[in-house]
Amino acid sequence: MSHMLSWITFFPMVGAVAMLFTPAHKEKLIKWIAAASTLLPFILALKALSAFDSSTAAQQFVEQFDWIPSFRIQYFMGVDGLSMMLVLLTALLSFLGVFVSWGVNKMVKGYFLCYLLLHVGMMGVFCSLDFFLFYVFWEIMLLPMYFLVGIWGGEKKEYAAIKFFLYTLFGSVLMLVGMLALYFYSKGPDGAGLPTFNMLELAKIDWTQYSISLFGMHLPFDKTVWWLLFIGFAVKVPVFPFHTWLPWAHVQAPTAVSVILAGVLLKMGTYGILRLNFAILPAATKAFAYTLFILGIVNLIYGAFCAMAQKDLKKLVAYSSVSHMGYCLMGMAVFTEAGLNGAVLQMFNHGLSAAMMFMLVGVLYDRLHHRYIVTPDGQPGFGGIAQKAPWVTAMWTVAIFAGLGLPGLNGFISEALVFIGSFPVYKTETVIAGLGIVLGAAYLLWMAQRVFLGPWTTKEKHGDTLAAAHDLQELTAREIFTLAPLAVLCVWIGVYPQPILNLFKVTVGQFLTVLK
Amino acid sequence: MMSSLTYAAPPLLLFAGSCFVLLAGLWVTSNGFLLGASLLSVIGATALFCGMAGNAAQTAFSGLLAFDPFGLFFSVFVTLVTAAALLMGAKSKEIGDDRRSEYYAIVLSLAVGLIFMSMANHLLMIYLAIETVSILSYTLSGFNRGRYASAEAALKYVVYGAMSAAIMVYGMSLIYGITGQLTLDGIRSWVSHTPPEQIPALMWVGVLMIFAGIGYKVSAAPMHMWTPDVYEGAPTPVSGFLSVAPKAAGFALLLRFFITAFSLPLETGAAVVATGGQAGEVAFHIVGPMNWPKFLMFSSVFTMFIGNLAALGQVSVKRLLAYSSISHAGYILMGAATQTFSGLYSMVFYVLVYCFMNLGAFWVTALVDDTFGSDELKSFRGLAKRRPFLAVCMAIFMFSLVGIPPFAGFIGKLYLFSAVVSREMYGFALLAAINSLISLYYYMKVVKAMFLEASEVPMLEGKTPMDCKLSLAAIALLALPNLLLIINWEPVVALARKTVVFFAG
Repeated sequence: MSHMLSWITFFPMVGAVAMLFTPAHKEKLIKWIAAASTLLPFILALKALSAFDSSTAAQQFVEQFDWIPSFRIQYFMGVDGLSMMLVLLTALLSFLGVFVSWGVNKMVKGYFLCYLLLHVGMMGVFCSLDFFLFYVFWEIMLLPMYFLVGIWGGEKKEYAAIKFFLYTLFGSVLMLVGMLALYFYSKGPDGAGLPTFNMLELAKIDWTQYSISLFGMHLPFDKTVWWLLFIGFAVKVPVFPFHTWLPWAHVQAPTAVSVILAGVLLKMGTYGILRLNFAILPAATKAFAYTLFILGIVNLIYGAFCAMAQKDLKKLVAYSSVSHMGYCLMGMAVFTEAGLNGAVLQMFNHGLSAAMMFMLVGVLYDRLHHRYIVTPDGQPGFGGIAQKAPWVTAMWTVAIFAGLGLPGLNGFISEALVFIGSFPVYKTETVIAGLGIVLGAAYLLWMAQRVFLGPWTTKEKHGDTLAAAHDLQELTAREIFTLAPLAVLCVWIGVYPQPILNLFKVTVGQFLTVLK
Repeated sequence: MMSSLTYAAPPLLLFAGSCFVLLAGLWVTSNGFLLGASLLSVIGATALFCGMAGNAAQTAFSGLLAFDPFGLFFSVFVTLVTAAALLMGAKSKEIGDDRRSEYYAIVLSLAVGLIFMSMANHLLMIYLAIETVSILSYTLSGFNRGRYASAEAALKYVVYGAMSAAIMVYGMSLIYGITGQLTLDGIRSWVSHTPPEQIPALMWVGVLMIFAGIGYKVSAAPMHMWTPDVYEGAPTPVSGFLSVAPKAAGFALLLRFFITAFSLPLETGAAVVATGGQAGEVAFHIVGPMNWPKFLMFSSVFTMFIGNLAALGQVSVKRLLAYSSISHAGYILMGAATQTFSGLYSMVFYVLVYCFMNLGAFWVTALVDDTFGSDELKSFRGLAKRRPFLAVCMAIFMFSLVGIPPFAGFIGKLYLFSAVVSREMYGFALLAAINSLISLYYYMKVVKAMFLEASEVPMLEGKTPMDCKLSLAAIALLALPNLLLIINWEPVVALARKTVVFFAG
């Protein structure tokens, strides 16, 4: 099939157009259209995977033609092992997300239109190899995300939505300046060549030869641009101190959008750092490796402490994302095979476990209409759920243990790889980071204890009042359908990680050769 | 003289149309007839201009006016905006039915002034054109003389306009006194043939004073202060018109003034043109002792910050759009500060894109204002539920004004930013980028009101001004380019490039 990646990226647009002409009151039909237009990209992504040659780091399924010749902008799509993995993750979570959103009953048409547009943006980011195209997709995602959080979110949705938008745009405008600087300097030292946005071409240039002046200061070109790009991605990851939008957006967003935010959007940050900072500016990356590593540890430990202090279940899960993305940063910063493979795998694993946790928060919220681990007046909000709903608890257990890195589940593999890779490089720091694992286990297990074990103290919210709940409904078929694939993957990767490691091993090796 | 007159045919046609509509309005009450006659003269003028498109650049009326691709482009542009203004006013409640012919007549003669502004090549002509536009703008903004705000707007406009006109004419007298020249080419040849040390510092003062006059038209800080009051008080169609057409013509004038009188195209200009101007090479020498690009850079940054920071707290959407239009004047100035060919056509391109997004935003505001009798943010609340189409279009205009992909405003900003970055003015680019970020907040206030907030007023029954088919069609026409330009904007940039080609020698 030709134009595979374009189909994967743009097919949801076809669905969106069909949806536009569907009357707004036919909600069932709209939901099925959304399901169909995310299912096809998922099938195509699987098809691409079967045709994918993981023995090479070259870009595959390449589509390349001129878009705006006078600005040297190309429509250039392609995937390597890294982006293939993320395309799969995105396709899977987007498809499941439709079923997580099945209960949406407010402005259904608008919701799914935004949802499909978001899909286009996310896929585009992972598939595009032209920096300009990448930037356009990167930004396209903001609009639907704003509306999804702002219209269908929780009580503080408006604040959360604008905060998300402002933070991300702050990063984006810096990225825009960095992108243009790269473009104009790609002409070569004598300025005679043609500029380019092509990421593969940009990666071939030695940027250390240039310097720029900013507000009268003379700065090395590559390091300045590195920061301009890095801040753009750091907001998305989110790297401390750019993380403060995350607890707001994740908590206020509707369940499916939290799933997408945690499962896919955070990975776009780390993906961008790898694809642009690492591949294009390797010299600067080496210079800032230690900074990156320390930022990773800060994320890991700070996120864990914040999570531990939360009384809101969803906020706890949100901060656990901050903490878990710290592993990615650490693994990336050490430039060892184990470290980088671990970081990339952690991107996938966190996508699974965080998505599960957010879905499960949604499961509880749908039934009990609150998320208090501890209610405002100091009472336990949950308790003893394991007695009444063992399947809910079982799924939670998989997600929690996958997150905290229990051997046999996926999180263990990636976290172990990150530590194996980091220890030889930064010994003391890695030992300190080990504290993060303990803290991670602590807040998750403490949460599990308070929510699932012990006597039945679960409350239910009616209107504004909390009252003791009598019963808790088990998982429905739809919920099992959304959770089971993720749980199976968690176990499978935990037991037999080789297939997925093989998928991106060669690509990761290529990244490392550039950095050597 | 005769050949000059053929060039002047389009503005004359507009003027004839204006007189006809004014007189016919005394007897004919049919709005359709009056509007049709006005539009006919606009279309005729546009067609005549388009017929001249192939002609070589030349001056007419002994150097008073320059007929070149640049002037022609802006003339066609202002006539099209005029057509939009006529349509916008055709149904507006703020312009009474009995006075519609006056509205059409004033808008048409205003177009004449704007055409002269974009072609003026002589200090006297510059002054006359600006004054024509100003005086007619005063009357337009005070159109609802019974309304307090409208009268206040007109008075403020007059006082401010008179002051800046006086400053400008004084500056012109200084320049004339120093150089003995009135045409822009004459000034350039005087400046380039006089040793720099013999050019008195007063020359600078003169240039600054003229900039004050032009800056008043494009509402560049610190000459922007009239803008919010006038836009708020004037009938909304008038505000929409004033925020686009005089600004465009003002930028045409600004470029012509600085490029023709105070810079020389480099010999490499042709080469720059051949490579599409992406090279980031300086295409113009500054002649004379003053570094005007640097001055324009400071003015640009100042204007952006003033506009964007002041817009943050506004509750009246018209006022908000007024400050936004100030900040956009700052963005457009970015191009002029780069001294490059790409900077020039980026400006032209941005003016074009800006017209679509800003006219659209004002048009939606006009409909909302007509329906609810107020242009405050609270009238926009819940619009997405009531009139989803209108709300979506307004959101497109807002996003486009912020300048985020995939909307046209982004492409416009991309070119301005790339012109600045190509000259390695990174600090400037970063400041402008921060401004884009600030602007997000207040544009999103409108979007938030429409989509996220519920209305306090119950759902409207029956037909309202928001259901006017003509207006909705026009708004859709303005929104579509904002949405679709991303697919391929090459032809539009090529057009912008063609209009400024001859500046680059």
